[in-house]
Amino acid sequence: MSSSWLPDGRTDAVRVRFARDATASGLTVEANAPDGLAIVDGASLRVGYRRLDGIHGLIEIDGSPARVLFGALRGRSNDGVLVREVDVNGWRFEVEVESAARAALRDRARRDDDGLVAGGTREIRAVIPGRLVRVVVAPGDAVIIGQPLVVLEAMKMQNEVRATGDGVIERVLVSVGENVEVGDLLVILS
Amino acid sequence: MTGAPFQRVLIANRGEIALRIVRACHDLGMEAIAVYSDADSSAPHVRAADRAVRIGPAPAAESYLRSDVIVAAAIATGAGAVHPGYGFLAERATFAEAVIRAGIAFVGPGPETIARLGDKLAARRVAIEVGVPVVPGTLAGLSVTGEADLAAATEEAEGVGFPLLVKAAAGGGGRGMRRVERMDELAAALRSGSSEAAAAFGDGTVYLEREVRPARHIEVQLLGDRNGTVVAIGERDCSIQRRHQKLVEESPAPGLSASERHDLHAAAVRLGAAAGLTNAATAEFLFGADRRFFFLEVNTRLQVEHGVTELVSGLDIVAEQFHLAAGEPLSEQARAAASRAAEPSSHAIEFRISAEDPARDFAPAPGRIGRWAMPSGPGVRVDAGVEAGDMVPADYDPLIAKLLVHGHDRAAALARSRRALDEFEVGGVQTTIPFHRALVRHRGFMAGDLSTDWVASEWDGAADRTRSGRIALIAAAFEAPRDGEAPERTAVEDGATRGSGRDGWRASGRRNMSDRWPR
Repeated sequence: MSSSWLPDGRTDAVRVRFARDATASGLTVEANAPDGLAIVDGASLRVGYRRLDGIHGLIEIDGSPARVLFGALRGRSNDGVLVREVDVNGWRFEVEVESAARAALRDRARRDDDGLVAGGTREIRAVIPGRLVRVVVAPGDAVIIGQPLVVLEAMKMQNEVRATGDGVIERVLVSVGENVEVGDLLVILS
Repeated sequence: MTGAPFQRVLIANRGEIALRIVRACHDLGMEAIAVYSDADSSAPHVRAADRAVRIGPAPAAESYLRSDVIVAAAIATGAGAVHPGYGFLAERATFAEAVIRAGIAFVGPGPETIARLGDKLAARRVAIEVGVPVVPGTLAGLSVTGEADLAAATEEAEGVGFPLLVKAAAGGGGRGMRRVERMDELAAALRSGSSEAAAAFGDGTVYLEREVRPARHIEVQLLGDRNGTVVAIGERDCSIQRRHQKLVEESPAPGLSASERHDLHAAAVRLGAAAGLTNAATAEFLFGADRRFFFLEVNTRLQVEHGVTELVSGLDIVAEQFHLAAGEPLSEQARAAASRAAEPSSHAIEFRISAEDPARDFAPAPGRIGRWAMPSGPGVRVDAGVEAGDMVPADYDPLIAKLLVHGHDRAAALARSRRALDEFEVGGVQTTIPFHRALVRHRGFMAGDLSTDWVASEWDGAADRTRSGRIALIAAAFEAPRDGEAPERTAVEDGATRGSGRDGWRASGRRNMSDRWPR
């Protein structure tokens, strides 16, 4: 089984990483190295993979078997990264798959971008969707790490969103009653 | 029990429990009328019902909690009875009253009983009257508005001892509850507990209770008729909880002797009888390490976990509720089940499948369901409230299904649980399934070593997830697209959720594309 979408059909390594998780570096996998081996981040692993129906697969990594469930595939055409839902043991992951060569180029571009951003500010974003029921701080307030900033209500539970570091509130971008989505910017700390 | 107790029933709820009640209606030859908010206009309970009435916008306060609108819908549709399910209006005495005033039967205990037992403090006093031990704590409500109140609360807290729990007098499901280890945490806990209670129940009254730890949570299913007969239909162990919300329930409670079981059932029946219980309710107890029972509270409604009792007793509790609400005496089947309750002959376990992330402290994970493949086969029952393609709205409780398994004993039920949980496939949203799969393979749980601390002390969701994550990454690399199939050309089809057997890279969920997922 080939694991490449390169135009010339050449087998190449792929880069897999968790979607929307900037902290995870992911793995570089060469799926069909000789002798039934896979090269994962430079190390050889004995991996057997059997595709069942395009939804289910069986994988065995160094003797440990697992069932894999694949969900919807979403292509992101502008940067050529595939995003796929993968379920193992009931855990749901969104995995980005792209050619390792392309991933290296993207990483470099991203690092260059980061260099242009001024340091010193911190963005507090919603990690669950919900309705904003309380704003505890106002611009100019000094806060310490762990201090509650706003309260989000989701599924009848009130969840405090806390400061991720010491600082001064620069802006509060949401107001009570507003519905926020995952990733929405709530508060800027400086 | 013959014939339909009512011709037409309005179900004042949504989700899996509304569907469960629709089924009971149809089993009894009754028409089922659903109500729905704008978030639920095409929800499964609406699809299953014979008629459906819109009751308002998505927020529960503007729809499923609108007593006036729901009673008006019941009158307009000619319903003979209203079943409230659990949650929402189920334990609002004023709702039961409004239903009865409209000349419609309320499927549950009477408003006086709901009011008396729904006030957790009043319930504690009833228990003391009939000689049922209660968890040590205060017997009157605390106010948390002024400085003087705080001084009084401080004095009470000293008497109760630490650690203690601040609990909502009108509460349930852990809402308004705060754990307090030291005196200096008390004021903040009282304030935030009271505020959450006020938001959830419209009543910010709180009280203090000593924390019994380690403990098991064991509850008794009660049924009562209008002749004053109250019986116990077995008990359930609901010790596996997080944030005081149940994750797994089983019946019978493992490791109880026949005499302990008998005494527990008798205490619960005394409580129910003293409160004038009619219809169905559940008395909850804590079971301490010293094998003593302490009364916690009575829930005057159908419980989420009633199904495990149905499997072990052979009763249909919802059907019993309808007959009791029609004024019939306790059925022969119910009496027979009660007489067998202290010596159960099989075992059932329920797993709550919720749209939550068990690696992130069970944070809500609403979204759209992709694949939805339910387990089946011998001894397996699934009470679900969603199907493939359905939205799990953030507006309501995250419970989407209950997996119930039944076996001749606990070991058989556990083996069957492992099998059924492995068959259970949900895509699109993170669920509690990985937690359950790990639980049923845990040595302590398998040995019946249960505690309300289990989740906090034994569950490391992040580690469990990390192990699976590495496998998922490698598998994704292997399940790569075919040569010449550029990602840009990926066809968007709906086949993936239905198991079309086609190439999975081409099959896809169009509906999923526009959704945003929790991290």
